[in-house]
Amino acid sequence: MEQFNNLPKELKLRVLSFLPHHTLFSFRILNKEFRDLITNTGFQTNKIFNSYEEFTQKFPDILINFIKTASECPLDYAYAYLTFRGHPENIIVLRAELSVLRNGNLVENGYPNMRIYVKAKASHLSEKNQEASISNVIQSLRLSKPVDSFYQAKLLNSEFVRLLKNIKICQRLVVREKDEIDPHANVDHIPGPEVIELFSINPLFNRDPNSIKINNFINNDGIIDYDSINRYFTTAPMKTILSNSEKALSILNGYLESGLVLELHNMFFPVIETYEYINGNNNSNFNIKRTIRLEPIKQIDSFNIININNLNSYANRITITKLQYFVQELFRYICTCI
Amino acid sequence: MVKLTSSDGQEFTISKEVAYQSVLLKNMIEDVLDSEENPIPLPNVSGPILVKVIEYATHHKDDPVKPPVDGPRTSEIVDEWDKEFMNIDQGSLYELILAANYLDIKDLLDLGCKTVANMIKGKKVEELRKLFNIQNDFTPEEEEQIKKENAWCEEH
Repeated sequence: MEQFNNLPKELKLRVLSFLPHHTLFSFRILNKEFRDLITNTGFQTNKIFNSYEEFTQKFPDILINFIKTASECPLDYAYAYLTFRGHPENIIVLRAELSVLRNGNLVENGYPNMRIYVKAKASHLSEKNQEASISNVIQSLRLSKPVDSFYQAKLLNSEFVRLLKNIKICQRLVVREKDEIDPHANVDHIPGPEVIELFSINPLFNRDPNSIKINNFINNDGIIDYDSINRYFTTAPMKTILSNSEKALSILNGYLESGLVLELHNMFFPVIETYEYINGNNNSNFNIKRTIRLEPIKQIDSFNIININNLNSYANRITITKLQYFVQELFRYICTCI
Repeated sequence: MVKLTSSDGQEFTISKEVAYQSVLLKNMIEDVLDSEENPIPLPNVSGPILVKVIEYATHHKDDPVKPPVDGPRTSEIVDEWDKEFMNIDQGSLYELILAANYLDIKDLLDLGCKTVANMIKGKKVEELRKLFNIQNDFTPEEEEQIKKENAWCEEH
């Protein structure tokens, strides 16, 4: 007799996708198979915000948590981010990233490409929250500056401003989700957690159902053909930026030069593109290093939990300050962008 | 008309209208022009299950195309006929889900999955393990860790 346990993975996931999230997550306790099945699958709802304003109005509590948590450099949250991946409905992850590769910013005992994730939890989407105003959000933060001056405050990092103002792709927030609208989407096609892709474009989906299998990118010798993956899955905004004009490239350079690493998660395939600024031999010469890698199915073990608050060297303080600065800039942008 | 042969050799004749409920059959019929003469073999579907599939497809053949569902998915089954139709033993239920998946009949697949989801809802972990014959392979430490990680959803 057929049993639930014997159903193929995609059918189990389909069944689970009909469950309310409390029940769904109780499945993680059943055994290792279900724990991994749910943890590594993007069980999300569709939520696309057309503007930052819409997002801030609906989830002011996320912003509060985001700014507070980020300013404390919560590297411990990297672990939480991964263990909580796959939350349905009510968890949104905001991600701030800071490259520690630049001169003078190296964090002691940290991974060279250490990433800082900031988790914020939207526990509910009540009517009350939907009516919340951004002014209340700012007041809740108890910022030293009055609200008016906060709105008028100039963004100080010119490169950051230039990036935000010029790259259209920043104008839309996307929560990675299980896509119920697209008929080709399936519950296990979209890996990873929901992430507000602050620097990504709206869906980069390529919904060709015939091209989703990694087997298509493994050659006869059993080696993954990264060049083919690269060609196929390079995301549209990056194609534009990299091939369009010198101006577009300089925008990206400015962004990367400011010390940030741009990481794009392809929402259709477990591929991550990373763009980072690499200093050449002389200062006028720079390169953008682009790497494409497959997102591992299981990531939890690969992350270290580091709390850089405990690392008090001068170099670390610079890094911390830079992150705080970045988050403040980001927050200002979110608050003022329409 | 279209002829189908189940895995146990039973032959069924159905209208194209009914067959077109299945994306797989629709594609096969379009590929194989003489499907009226040569039965389409369905090696993954047994006779009794194919009877159920045909019953479902026949009942729903005139249904209008459903619009995409807006909002969270729920396991609620609205149609009374569907509820009664799914009143079958667990083994047949999973076979039906597998058949719907193989034949690519999305509505039947979702109906089967919702039925299983409804069996799951409200049950405690131990009850689920018993219901689905799932062995707990966690160490006590691992189990404790999972419970800790799940604490967030018990907050509300």
